[in-house]
Amino acid sequence: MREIRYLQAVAEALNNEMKISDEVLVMGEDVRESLRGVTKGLYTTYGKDRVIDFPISEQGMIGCGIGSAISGFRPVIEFQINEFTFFAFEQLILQSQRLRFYSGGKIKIPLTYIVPGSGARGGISGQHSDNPYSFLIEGGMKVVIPSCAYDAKGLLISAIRDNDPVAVFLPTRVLAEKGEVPEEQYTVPLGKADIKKTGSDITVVATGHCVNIALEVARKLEEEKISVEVFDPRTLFPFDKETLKESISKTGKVVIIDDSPVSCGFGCEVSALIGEEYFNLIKAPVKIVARADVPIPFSEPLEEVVLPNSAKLENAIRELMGRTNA
Amino acid sequence: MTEQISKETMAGFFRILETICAAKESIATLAKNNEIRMQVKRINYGEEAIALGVCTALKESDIVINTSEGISSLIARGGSLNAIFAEIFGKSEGYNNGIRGSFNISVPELGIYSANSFSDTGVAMGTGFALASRLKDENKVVAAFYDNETVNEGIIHESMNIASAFDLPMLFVCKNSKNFKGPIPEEFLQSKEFGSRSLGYGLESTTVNGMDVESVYSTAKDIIKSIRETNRPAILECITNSCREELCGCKSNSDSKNVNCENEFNGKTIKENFSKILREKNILTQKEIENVQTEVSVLVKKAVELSKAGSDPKPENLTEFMYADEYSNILKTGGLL
Repeated sequence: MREIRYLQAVAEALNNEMKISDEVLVMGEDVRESLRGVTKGLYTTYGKDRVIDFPISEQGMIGCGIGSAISGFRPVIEFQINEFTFFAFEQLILQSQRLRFYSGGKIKIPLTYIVPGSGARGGISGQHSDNPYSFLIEGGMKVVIPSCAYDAKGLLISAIRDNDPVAVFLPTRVLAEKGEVPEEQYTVPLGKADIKKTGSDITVVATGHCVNIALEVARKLEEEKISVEVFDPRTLFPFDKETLKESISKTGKVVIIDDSPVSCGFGCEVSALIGEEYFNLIKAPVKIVARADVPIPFSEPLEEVVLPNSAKLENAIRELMGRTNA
Repeated sequence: MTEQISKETMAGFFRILETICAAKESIATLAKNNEIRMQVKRINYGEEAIALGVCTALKESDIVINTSEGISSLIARGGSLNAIFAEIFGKSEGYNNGIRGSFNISVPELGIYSANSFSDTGVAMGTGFALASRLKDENKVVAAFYDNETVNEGIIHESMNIASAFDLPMLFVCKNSKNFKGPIPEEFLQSKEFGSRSLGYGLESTTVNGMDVESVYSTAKDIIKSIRETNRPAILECITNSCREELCGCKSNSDSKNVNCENEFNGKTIKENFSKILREKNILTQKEIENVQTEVSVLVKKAVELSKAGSDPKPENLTEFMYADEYSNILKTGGLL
């Protein structure tokens, strides 16, 4: 099968959905020229009424997306920088996420937010390096993080076709990665995890670009006969707990690696789920490898200290393999 | 040129005005008597003519974005008193199944999708409805209400800029209360006039007496016509002496305070002024006015009684309303459901 980059897979999904449905609009701050390349070419093909560049005004832009979504369109809103979600939080949560609930289920708001370039990218400091998905999940929003090109295309198509707001985070560290992607359209369902590598000794729950870290560590430890299973939830919310249960039933040990903060981050949520529902299946404490509870510093060596990485994951796995709850 | 308002239309206005006033008075009394279980924080008096004038100048297919003073527009758009009161009592027969509450009732079937306690935030959504109307060539106009206290909020400016830049059919309706008790918005304006802000966005701004039904209606009608023809958004600033009866959101009637409530112009309330005009122009006699008042009062009483006897929403509604597309296990409810 042909190989294309993750970013191209995202662009292909967008183009696919725009081609088959006039309801799909693309909105953003620079979607015509497309500095990031996600929407490149769409303006020429679909024109100014469907590829809409906004002034730099995130709250207004989201609000405009909500109104047009309720009116029957399916806007895809690009956040050029992940921190823009902070600017627009009221519109994202109080309005787009809650209005259906408060209307008594009378309306639907099929909006997709895409965040190309989420997370840290090596030395660009604290206003371009966040992964604010835990906030959105607390607000009730469906959140997706594809870890590879194949998932990116299939999940984005599902997100656009979903009838609720969905935030799709596209981590910087995987945007340039190549992978096998079918040319035809296909969907990867929301709420369905994927076992990226099977193993029998320990389950690593990995999100977004951390899946690659987990696979790298798993390959290394294989030489030492430590068999690591890599579980990629793909959709953080709704979370596929059944597949996780199957994996834990087999391994009994879990490390979570995720690029949101240690405290109240996504790792805590998975750990709490295991503690509450699968305690009888685990043989060791759950470990979380995540961001330290500080903002991302500019200095790259310090950035490495804050972020989850392969060395930290390897240590966590080794620690768990050396101990069990007798 | 402004058309003459027909006698039938004027008589219709009075019925709406009477219904709005009677409904509000009833809600205030119920709240003070602790007859409503949930909180009703405050009632605004003196903004009835704005909702009435603007909403009746719109077409049925047009869209309204409300503030927390949404009941007036709801009634002016033909909303059902029974469903309004049921919502205020938190019952499943309410417009939003008792889940949205008194301030923020949204009624998509009446083109009222959003009502916000933070009166500026819905305005942004309004641009989206206007964009959709333009893209689908539906020729709808969106009227978005907001309070003077929010004119210094960023989202108002973002929305006006977007509406102007994209040629969106939107009417921004500023309810400018001169009785506002918070930090007076004009204090923070170098120009001292809200209207002058519109210049920066290339928008026309018109100021009217927001307590004069005919004036609001006629002006709104003209502006809406122009918006529909040109797709150019505009601002309508309605000056009022409206005031708020603070019910404090508490359940003790002794805490209710009617702060300096002089919601009048020419020494009279909106309703008194309008009834006088109706009598002077021989549109309605005093007897006919009283008849309308009696009829409306019966309808309000009936709505209250029905609502009291309504049913509470069910716990399963909580998850049912949350998502249009559900996935198994999406919501944890702590074993409560």
